Amino acid sequence: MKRYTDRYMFSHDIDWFFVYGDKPIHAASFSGKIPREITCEMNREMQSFVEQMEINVEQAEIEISKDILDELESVSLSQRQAYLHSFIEMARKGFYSFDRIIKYDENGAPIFSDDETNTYRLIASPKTPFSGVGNLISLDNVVHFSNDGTTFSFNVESNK
Amino acid sequence: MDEDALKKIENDAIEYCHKMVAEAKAMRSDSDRHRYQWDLYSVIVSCGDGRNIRRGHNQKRKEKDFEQPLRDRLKKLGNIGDRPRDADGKVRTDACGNVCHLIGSCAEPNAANKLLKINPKFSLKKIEFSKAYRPRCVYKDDYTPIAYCQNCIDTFETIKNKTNNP
Repeated sequence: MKRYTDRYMFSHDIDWFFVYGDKPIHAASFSGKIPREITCEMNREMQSFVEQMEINVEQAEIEISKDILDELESVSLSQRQAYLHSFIEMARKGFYSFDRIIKYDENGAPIFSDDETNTYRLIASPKTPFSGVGNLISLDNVVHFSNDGTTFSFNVESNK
Repeated sequence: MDEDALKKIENDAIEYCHKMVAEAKAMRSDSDRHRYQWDLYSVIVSCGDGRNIRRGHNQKRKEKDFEQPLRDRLKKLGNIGDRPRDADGKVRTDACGNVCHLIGSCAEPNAANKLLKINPKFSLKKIEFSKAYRPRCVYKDDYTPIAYCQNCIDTFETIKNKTNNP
């Protein structure tokens, strides 16, 4: 089974999916590593499945993490929308949507980080989670969630 | 470089982000094509010399990949492919305390290198860059540029000037 190589993961912002307990999770890698258990074929099938899911939830019915909204307070509404829209779309499809942790400079501009941080944080949550979690790989023994469920991380193994 | 040329470089980067997102969506919507690569790049930048425009994305690079003038400039930061280090050997951090990027891995030198391949005599000091964008975060007419990193500020005069006079 083909795995994402280190070089590929470094260059790409990969959407990947799994289930933790009964929670369906979407994560955007933003050049971070993703667990070895997520193979290319499996993930591309999942990306395709999710892309073709209908959005049947109003935007008002999803929740944006308060920490994120506080951080984005200094940027314009349109910039906030630009950052959030893909995570909102995933939450509207029923996924808890996470982004690899990003930092901001003194002017509020996001900073791209290649420092191999593999901590992700919750950006948007669904009110009604996706019910077809049987389609997703369980990573209960791979990722570690914080007690409040707002961040997760995992140990990195190199994929050559 | 005149305003029009600068605007063209900026628009090129934004249009490319839109195109990449649209292509990824189209590929994902077509189950028969799911074996192909369709992930977005993390960061993209366009650059130009007034006549030509080239794009780059972040990727790991080796010394031999770069044209001579850019290679020499990057090597002033340290070994290409490694992180820059202070005199005491510690990995350099920027003003915000973030670890500096791997030398040569940013979208900016990768875009500039493509430009130098077609116009080898063009001065590094004159290459103009678009802002850096995360394609995922370019939506309709809204976008949040990513901050230039310290390596790129130290490598490219025009980026340094923009950072000093945003």
